[in-house]
Amino acid sequence: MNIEFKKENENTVVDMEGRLDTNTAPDFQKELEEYYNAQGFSLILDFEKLDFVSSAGLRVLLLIQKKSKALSGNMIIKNVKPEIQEVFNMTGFSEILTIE
Amino acid sequence: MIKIIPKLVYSLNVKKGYEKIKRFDELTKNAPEVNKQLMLDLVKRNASTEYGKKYHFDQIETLETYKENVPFSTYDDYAPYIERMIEGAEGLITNDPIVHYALTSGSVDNPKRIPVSEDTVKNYREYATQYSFAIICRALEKNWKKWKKGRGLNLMEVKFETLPNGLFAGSISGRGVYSIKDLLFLMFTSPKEVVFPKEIMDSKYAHLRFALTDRSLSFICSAFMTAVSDLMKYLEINWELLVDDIEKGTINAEIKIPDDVKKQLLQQIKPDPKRAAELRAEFQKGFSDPIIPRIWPEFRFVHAIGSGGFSVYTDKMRNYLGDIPIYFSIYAASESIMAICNEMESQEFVLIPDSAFYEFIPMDREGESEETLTMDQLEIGKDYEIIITNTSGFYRYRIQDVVRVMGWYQKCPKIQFVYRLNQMVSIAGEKTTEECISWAVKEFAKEAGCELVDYSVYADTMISPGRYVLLMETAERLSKDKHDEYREIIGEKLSIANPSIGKKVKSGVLSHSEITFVQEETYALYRDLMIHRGISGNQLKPVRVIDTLIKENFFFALVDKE
Repeated sequence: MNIEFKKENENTVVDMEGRLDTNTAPDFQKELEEYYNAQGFSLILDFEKLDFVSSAGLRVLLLIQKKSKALSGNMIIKNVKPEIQEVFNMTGFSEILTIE
Repeated sequence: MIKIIPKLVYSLNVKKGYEKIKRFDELTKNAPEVNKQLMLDLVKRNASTEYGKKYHFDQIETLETYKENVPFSTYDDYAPYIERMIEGAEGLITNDPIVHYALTSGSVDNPKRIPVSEDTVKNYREYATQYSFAIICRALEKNWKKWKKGRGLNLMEVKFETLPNGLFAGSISGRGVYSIKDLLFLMFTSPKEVVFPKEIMDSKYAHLRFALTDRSLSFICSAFMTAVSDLMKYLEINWELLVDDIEKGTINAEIKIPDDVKKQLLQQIKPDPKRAAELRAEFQKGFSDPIIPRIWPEFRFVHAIGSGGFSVYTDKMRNYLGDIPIYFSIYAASESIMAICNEMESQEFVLIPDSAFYEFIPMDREGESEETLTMDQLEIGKDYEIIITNTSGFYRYRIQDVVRVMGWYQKCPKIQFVYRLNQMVSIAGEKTTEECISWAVKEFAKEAGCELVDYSVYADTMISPGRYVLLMETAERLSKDKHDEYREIIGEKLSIANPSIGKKVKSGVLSHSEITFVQEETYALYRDLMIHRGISGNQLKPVRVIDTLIKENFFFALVDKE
């Protein structure tokens, strides 16, 4: 999976490309650590080029969501492909995450 | 000094426990009479309650009149009373003071709130702590290494909400921990900020952060083995981070702990490079040899419910424990502690005759008769639905558990939990229990040569005829090319576990069973999600039957399709 970071105003935008799965989730988590551990963080995950999210990927998203509560942060996921949106809907993640 | 205090506290507990063993041995000599008398005392004590008046408790003087006057009950029968009790009403179902409401793990949307009297808490305290520690101590001295009574790691957290009547609601195991709150920090390594969390935090990290620094840690206790196994898995993945923190006296910034709590925890932490070096050396050798005795040389036992549906997790724990034994704790529910192990490593539980009154319905009985048996009428090897009258105001309560009689301890049955009635799968009357599924899945894993992470069963009635779908998560992904072979194996194993399935598949009443693999970390994700939704980690049980739309959607969305 390729990840690119860019700054948009106060937000850190993360462009994600490929698959967020067992193989890529640990690195993804590591790369995002410094962002989601900051008080009041604001992350936008752009899923436009992301094709797949597995259980391991969902665990990382849940972790960041939990951090956002603890650190008064914010995570928005946008441009979600229908097949990933379907997984979010079925697993109950669409009620937990902020998806635009 | 720090080593002397836990030793004194545990020694005192064990001393009380030996007295409890003596008392228990006296009670079990006469168990059927003790048990019947408990029922008569409860009825007498509660004759003036609303429930007592409704069912004429004042006229009950024998078991027969009790059965005639009082119908079987379920939670729904008590729910209207409990609503009023929560608002402050008293004397509705019991005259004994209610001190707590146990939130059950049964339903995410609408958890039950089970009243708990001081008597019930006392039974939990005396049996689940004092009695059990004495049994453990005795067994270790006899057959294993002597317990030096160092501190333990307690994974039972206390998360309570306050009800309008001022009482707490939370898990029953949490209430047990709360009842020894003043002694807790002398007995266990985790500080109060971790045991009584006010907000969600990385509790696995927090528990381990303190337990690892204590070289003399002597045991781990938890409500269920799931939590212990998850903790060890976490350690396997995150040991470097934990050891770094121990070395430097820090808490890594990526760990989610509220700032004020982190500040308080850091005050209790000092850099410990010596211990960190010792731990690092052991972790670097890997986890293939049991890690627990290498990092905690005085570790002597695990105390957790780990039989039946939890056995997958118990099997995993053996890899971490080596020869260190497990005490399988209790057979209990929010409504009552019902039975207890009286031997280390035994997975049979002796009914506790002074904790609840027990009635039994044989599972092999034909027809709809509701005639019950008492403990003296049970037969070894047979399965029975257990019905309890507890010390907190539930009478002839169908707890929905089926138990098997394994033997006798004096005049008291030794039982094993077999399955929950509402967790039994039956598509065409074949009645498949959790036990059958568990056996079939484990046999499958042996034959397929895979390591099982977790599993569930789903009754698929969307196709006709219906079929069993086994969902499994394995440690390594299995070859797609062998799917048909795996399907054959699971079909065969299910048919051995429950021959009725085999017959029904052959005769076309059921379709051939199916096997499906879910993605790695699916079951861990489910547990994460439940905890995120506020379910206490103490209460998380394995998902054995996919019996709700929520579970169905969740697990089937995460099937490994690649």
